[in-house]
Amino acid sequence: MTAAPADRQAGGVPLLDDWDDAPLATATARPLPPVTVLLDPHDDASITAALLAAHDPAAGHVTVHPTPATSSPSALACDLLAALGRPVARLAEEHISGTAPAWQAAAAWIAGDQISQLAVLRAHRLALAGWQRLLELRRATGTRLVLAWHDRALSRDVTRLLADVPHRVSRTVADMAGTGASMTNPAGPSCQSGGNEPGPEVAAALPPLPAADVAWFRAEAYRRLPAGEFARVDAVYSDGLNAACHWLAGHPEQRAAEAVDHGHYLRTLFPDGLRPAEITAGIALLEHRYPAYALRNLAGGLLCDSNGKTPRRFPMRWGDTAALQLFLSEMAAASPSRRHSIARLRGAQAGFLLHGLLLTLPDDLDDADGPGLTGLPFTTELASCVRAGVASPVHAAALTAALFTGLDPPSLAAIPVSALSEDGTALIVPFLQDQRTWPGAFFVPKPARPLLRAARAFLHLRGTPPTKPLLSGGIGPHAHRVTASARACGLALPVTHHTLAQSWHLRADAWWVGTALHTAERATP
Amino acid sequence: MTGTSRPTPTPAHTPPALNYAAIRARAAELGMPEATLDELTGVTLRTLERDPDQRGIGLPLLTRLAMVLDLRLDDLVFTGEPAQHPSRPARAGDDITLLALLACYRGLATERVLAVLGWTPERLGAALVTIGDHLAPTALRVAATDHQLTLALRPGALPEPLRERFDAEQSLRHSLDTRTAVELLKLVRDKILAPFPDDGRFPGEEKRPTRGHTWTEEFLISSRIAIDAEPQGGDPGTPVVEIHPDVMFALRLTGRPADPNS
Repeated sequence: MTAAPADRQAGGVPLLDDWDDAPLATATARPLPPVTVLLDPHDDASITAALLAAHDPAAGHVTVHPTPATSSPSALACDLLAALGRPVARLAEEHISGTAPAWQAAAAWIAGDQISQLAVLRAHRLALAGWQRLLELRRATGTRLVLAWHDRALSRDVTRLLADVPHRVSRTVADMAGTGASMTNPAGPSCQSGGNEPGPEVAAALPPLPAADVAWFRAEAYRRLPAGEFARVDAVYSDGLNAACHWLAGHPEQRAAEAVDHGHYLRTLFPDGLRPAEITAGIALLEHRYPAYALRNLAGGLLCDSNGKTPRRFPMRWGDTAALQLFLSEMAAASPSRRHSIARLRGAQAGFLLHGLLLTLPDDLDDADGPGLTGLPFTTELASCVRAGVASPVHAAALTAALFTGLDPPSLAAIPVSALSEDGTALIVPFLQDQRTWPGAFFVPKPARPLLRAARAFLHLRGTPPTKPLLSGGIGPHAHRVTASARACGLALPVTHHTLAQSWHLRADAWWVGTALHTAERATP
Repeated sequence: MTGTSRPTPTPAHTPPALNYAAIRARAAELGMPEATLDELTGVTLRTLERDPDQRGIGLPLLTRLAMVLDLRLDDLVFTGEPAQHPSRPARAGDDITLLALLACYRGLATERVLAVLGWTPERLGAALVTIGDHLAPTALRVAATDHQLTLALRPGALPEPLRERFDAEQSLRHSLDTRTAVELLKLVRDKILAPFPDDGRFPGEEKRPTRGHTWTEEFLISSRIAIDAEPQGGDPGTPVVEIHPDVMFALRLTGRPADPNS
C-alpha cells in the first residue's frame, strides 16, 4: 500500500488510503489446507443447492455465486464481498473499487472474520485471472478453498495452474458442506454473542445516581432512591464488586500479596514432609472453612509464630497499570448506559477495597468521557450494522473504534497498527502526558475484534508497516469519512472532543492501602 | 481598599475603610464594650478611624476582628461604594474589558491590570464604578483593593445553609486519598475484629496506637469515614473513632447505612 502522499495532513488527520494496485501479501503463516475442486460433470442442481445451503458466515462458511455473464476478477471480488455481507455499492466511496483493493478487502474480511471455508460456484466459468486471485486469497488468508467445476473435466489452463498447488478433486459435496472437524471455525462464529452483553438483571434502566465516591455511593443511593430503584442500582453495583473480586483473585499481583500476607505462617501448620500441592490444598481447605482472623489466631496462638502483621508498607502503587486499564474499560464497555458504568465502577471500587486496594477514579467521573461513558456498548447487533453498512475494513474499524472507545477522531487517527494486540482483544495506545509517554489500554469488545483484525489484515496485505496508522484512512479529514460511515450504517457517532489522555480509565489508578479483608477465593464477601 | 458593591447603603465616598458602624453594632449585640474589643484586637477603633488612608488595616487585623466578633471578612469591610457620579465616566467598553478579564483569570493584580492595559488609576476607578452599577442587581461584585481585583460573590447572595449543602455534596465526589484509605481499612478491620476480646492481637503484640496518634479523628469524622465511638477501656479521655456505617455499607459488611437523622 502507498501511504497516499506520505502522511499528508488534512483536517488534522493523516491521510492513508487511495490504495494503489499492489499485490496481495501473505497474512497467515498457518499450513494451508489443499484446494478442493468439486467436479460436477452433470451440473447437478442438488450440489449447487447443498453448497448454497452451507453458506453461513457466522459459522465460518461462505459460498459465492459469481454473477452470471461476468468473468473479470473485479466482478468476482464484488461477488465475494457481497457474499460476505458487505455493501458493494459503497466500494467506490470507500476507495476500494479497484481490482486489487477489492480483493484485499475481501481477503481482510475473510481473515478478520476467520472464514474457514470459501466455496465458489460456477468456477468453470471464471477467467484464469479469477482463479489466480482466488489462489492468492487462499494463500493470504489460509481459508479452505472449494471450487465447484460444473463441467466434465478441468480445462488445460486450470490443470496447469493447479500443478503447483496442493489440491484434490472430489465428486461429492458431503465432506465439505459444513461437516467434519476442518469445517469448524476454531475461533467461533464471528457474529456469535460477544459475551459483553449484561444479564437482564443488570440491564434495566437506572435512575439518576448520587455523585459520590465509593465510601458514600451506596449509602447515598440507599437514602435517596425508592427501594425498587435502589435494588436495581445495587444489582449493578454488586455486579461490579464481584467482577473486581474475580479479577483480582486471578491477578498475579494479588496472589503474590496474599502469599506475603498469609502464606508464610499457614504453611507452618503442616509437616515438612508434605508435598507443596498437599500443603496448598490444606491451606485452601483452612481458608475455605475459617475466616482469616481465626487462622491468624490459630497460627499465632498455637505456634507462637507470626503475629499476622504485614511486612508490607502502605500505601504502595499497584504495579500492573495496563491490566487495570483493560479491566476497567472491559467492565464499562459492557454497560448498557453511562449510569450502569458508574454504578458498576463504584461497586468495583468496593471490591478493590475488600482486597486491600484503593481504586481511584477521576473526580469528574460523572461527566467524564471514555469507554462506557461516551463510548457505546459494542454489541453483536452494532457489529452487524457496521458490517452491513461499510465495505472497507479500515472504514469499518474506524467507525467501530469511534463507537466503543468514545475517543475524538484525531486521537483515533493516530492509533498505529501495532497498537492492536495479536489476538485483537486490546488496543495499547501510547499517549503523551506530563511530557512522558504512557501506555493507554483499551479493551476491545468481542464483537469488535473481527472488524479491527480485518483492518489490520487489510493494511498488512497492502504492505503497511506496523508503525503507520490503523484507522486514519477511515477517519478522513475533519472526520468526514467516519461520519459518512456512521450515516451509512444509520448510527450516530458519540459526540466527544476528549483526547486520549482525558479518557477516564487512563486517569484511574490503584494503590495498596492494606491487607485484603477477604481471601481471593471468596469472590464475594 | 476600593469596592464596587456592598450589602448595605453607605455614604458616597470612595476611600476604603472598616465598617465601623457594623463593627460597633456587632460588639453591642455581643454585649462587648469597645474597650474590651480594643483589648482583644490590640488596636483601638478610634485610632483606626482617625487615619483617612486606613493604612493600619491589614489582613491580620481583619482576621482578629472577624474571630472576636464572629463576623465574616466581607461584613467587616466597608466596601466603599464609589461616588454615584464619578468625576469622569468610564470610557466605552472599559467595563466590559475589565469584567471579562476578571472572569477569565479569576482575579488579577491591580498593578498588572494598569500596566498591561496602560490605564491610569482614575480610568480603572471609572471602569469599576460602571461595573459596580451593572452588577448591583446581581449576585456578583468586584472586590477591589490596592493590590487585587477579584470577581466575587456578593455577601449574602448565597445563603449559608445552601452553600453548606453544596459543599457537602461536592465533598462526596472527591476520590479518597491513599492515606485516608489506609486508615479506612484499618478502621474496617478493627470493626470486624471488635467482637473478639483480644482485638485481633496475638500474644506479645504491642497495643495498637489510638487513631489519634496516626491521624486526626476530626479529619476522618469530617470526611464521613469515621464516627465518634464511646470511650472504652476505662480511659474516657482517649479519643476513639470507629468506621462510619456508610463505609461498611459500601463494602456490603452491614445491611444498612447510617441513619441521617441520628
